[in-house]
Amino acid sequence: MGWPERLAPSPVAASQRAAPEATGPAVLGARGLSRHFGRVAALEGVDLDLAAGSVTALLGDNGAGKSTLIALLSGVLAPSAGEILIDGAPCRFADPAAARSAGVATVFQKLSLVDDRSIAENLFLGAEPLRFGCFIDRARMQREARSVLGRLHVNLPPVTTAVRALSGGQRQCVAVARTLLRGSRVVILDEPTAALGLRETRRVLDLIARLRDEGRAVLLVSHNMDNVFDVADRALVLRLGRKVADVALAAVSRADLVGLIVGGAA
Amino acid sequence: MNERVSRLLDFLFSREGVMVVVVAALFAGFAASAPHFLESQTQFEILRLTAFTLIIGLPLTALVIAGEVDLSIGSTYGLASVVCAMAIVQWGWNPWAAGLLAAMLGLAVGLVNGWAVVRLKVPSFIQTIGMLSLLRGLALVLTMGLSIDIPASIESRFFGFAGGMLGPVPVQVLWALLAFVLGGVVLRHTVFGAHLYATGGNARAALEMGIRPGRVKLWTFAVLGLSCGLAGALTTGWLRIGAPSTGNGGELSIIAAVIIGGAALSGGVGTALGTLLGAFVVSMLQTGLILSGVQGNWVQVGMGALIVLAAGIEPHFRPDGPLADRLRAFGRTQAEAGDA
Repeated sequence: MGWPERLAPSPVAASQRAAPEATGPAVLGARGLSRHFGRVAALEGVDLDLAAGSVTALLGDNGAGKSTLIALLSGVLAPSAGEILIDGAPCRFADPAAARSAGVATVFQKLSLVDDRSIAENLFLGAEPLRFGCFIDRARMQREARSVLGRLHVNLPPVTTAVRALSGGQRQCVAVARTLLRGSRVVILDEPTAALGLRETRRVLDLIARLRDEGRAVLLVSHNMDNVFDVADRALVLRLGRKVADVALAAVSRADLVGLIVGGAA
Repeated sequence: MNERVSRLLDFLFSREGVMVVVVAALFAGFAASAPHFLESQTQFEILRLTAFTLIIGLPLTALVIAGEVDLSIGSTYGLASVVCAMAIVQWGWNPWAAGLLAAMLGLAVGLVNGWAVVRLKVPSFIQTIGMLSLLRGLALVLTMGLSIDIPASIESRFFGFAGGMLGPVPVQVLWALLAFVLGGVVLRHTVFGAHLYATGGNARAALEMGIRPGRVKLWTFAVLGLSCGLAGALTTGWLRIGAPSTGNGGELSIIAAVIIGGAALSGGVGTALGTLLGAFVVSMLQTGLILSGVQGNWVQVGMGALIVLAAGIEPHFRPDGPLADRLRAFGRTQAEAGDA
C-alpha cells in the first residue's frame, strides 16, 4: 500500500514504472514471466517490452536469470507462469521453431554454424531456395546472400568461402544475417561480443545498430558496459530472477547501472 | 589467367586433385610392372570391381557424411544375394521378383539399422557390427553353408540385366555410372545433400535450423540397405549363384574406398568424386597386386595398411589442415612478390 510512495523518490524506480512508453509499438512483450526449477525461482514476474527499431540491453550478474529469460523468449523453455506477447497478443512457443516462425530469432553463443559449409549455405541452412522442389538454387542462394550481407555492410570474403575460414566477428555476422533472411522482427543476441577483439567488437556493434535502423527489435545480452552504452537505447536489469530496473540509458549513469546489477545501495 | 592458374592449383592440392594423381600413378605403375594389366579384360574386371564398390560405396559416403558408419554392408549384400538365389531356385519365383525381394530385404535391414541408431540411440558402429554377424550367420544358416546354383534351364532377361554386356562393356559399369551420377547430384545439388552435410557437420546447428538429423540419417541408412540389396541381386543374376560368403570382407574394401576418397568418419566431409577415385584405387590395387604375383593374403595386408595411411594423412589434406595453411602462406608471399 505504501509501496509506490517508498519507491517514488528514486529516479531509477520512476523510470522502472514507465517501462512501456518506448519509441514504437512493442513487437515482443512479456507479462509476469516466471520460471521455476523445482523450488528455485530462476525468473519471477518479469515484464518487458521490446519496441521495433530499438536495442534493449539485458543486464545482470551471473545467475540473475538472463539465460532463463532468453530461453523462455526463444522457446527453449516453457514459462511456469506469465505470458509472452507478440504484437500485444499472447502466444505460446512449443519449441524454438515456433518462436522462430513467430519472428523471434535468437543467436546463441554457439552460433550454430556448420564449419565445412560455405557462408551462403550457412545463411540458408534449413531454408534453402529450391528449384523443382528438391534442387538447391545455388545461384539464387548466393545472390541473396550477397545482397543481405551488402545491405548490412558486413565485410566478408566471397559467400562461397567455408565458414571455418572466418574470424569470430565474421562468424557472428553470418549468424546474425541469417536471422534477417528468416524475416525475424526480434533478434536476441547472447553475448555477441564475448571473446572478440576490439575491431571485431566494433564490427558486431555496427551490425546491431544497422538491425535497429532496419526496424528490428534487438535484445542484447552483454556484460560489457561500453558496448551497452554504445549501442543500446534501454537497459533491463535482472537481479536474483527479478527485474530491478527497465530504464532509458540516457537517464542513467554507468555507476547507476552497475549499482543496479550488483545490488545494494544504488 | 592468374585466376585460372590459382583455381588449377586449388584443385591439384585439393583432396580430389591428389587422388587423381594417385590413381594415374597406380595405373602407370601397374601398366609398367604387372603382366596382362593393360589387357581389356583386366581393365573391365577392374571396372566391374569398381562398379560393385560404387553401388554400395556411394550411399555409404552419404552415411559417413551424415556422421554414421555401416559395417553390415558386406553381410547385407551376401544375405540379399543368397535370398535372391533361394527365391529363384527353391521357391520358383520369377527372377525379377526375386531381385525385388532382395532389394526390399536390404531396405528392411537399412531401416532396422537406422531405427536402432536414431530412435534407440545405439552407436552405429555397435549396431552394424552386430548386424554384420547376425546377417552373415543367417545367410549361412539358410543355405547350410552351401552355395545355391541357378541351373541354366532357368531363363530370364534378368540375368542379362544383371550381368550381360553392352558391346564390350559389362552392364554393371552402366549401373555404377548411374549410381555415380545420382550420388553426385544428390550430394551436390539437392536439399537432402545439404542436410546430410549439415547433419554430420554440426547436428545441433542442423536441428536448430529446422533440419531433422534423425530423419536424414534414417533415410540414408534405408537407401544404403536398398543399395546393398540391389548389389546382391545383381551379383546373383550375374554369377547365377547365391553363395553365403558373398561380400565377406566387402565392408573392408568399400569402407577403404570411401575413406581413401576423403570422406571423414567424423562427419560433414566427403564427395561422390572422391569415392569414385577411392574405388578405383582399391579395385586397381586388388587386381594389380594379384596380377603382379602378390599372394592374395598380402593384398589384404596392403588394403589394411592403405586405410591406416589414408586416415593418417587425411587431417593434413583438410581445408583447415597444415598443408592448406602452408599453401595459403605460400600464395600470400607470391602475391606480395607480385605486387612489389
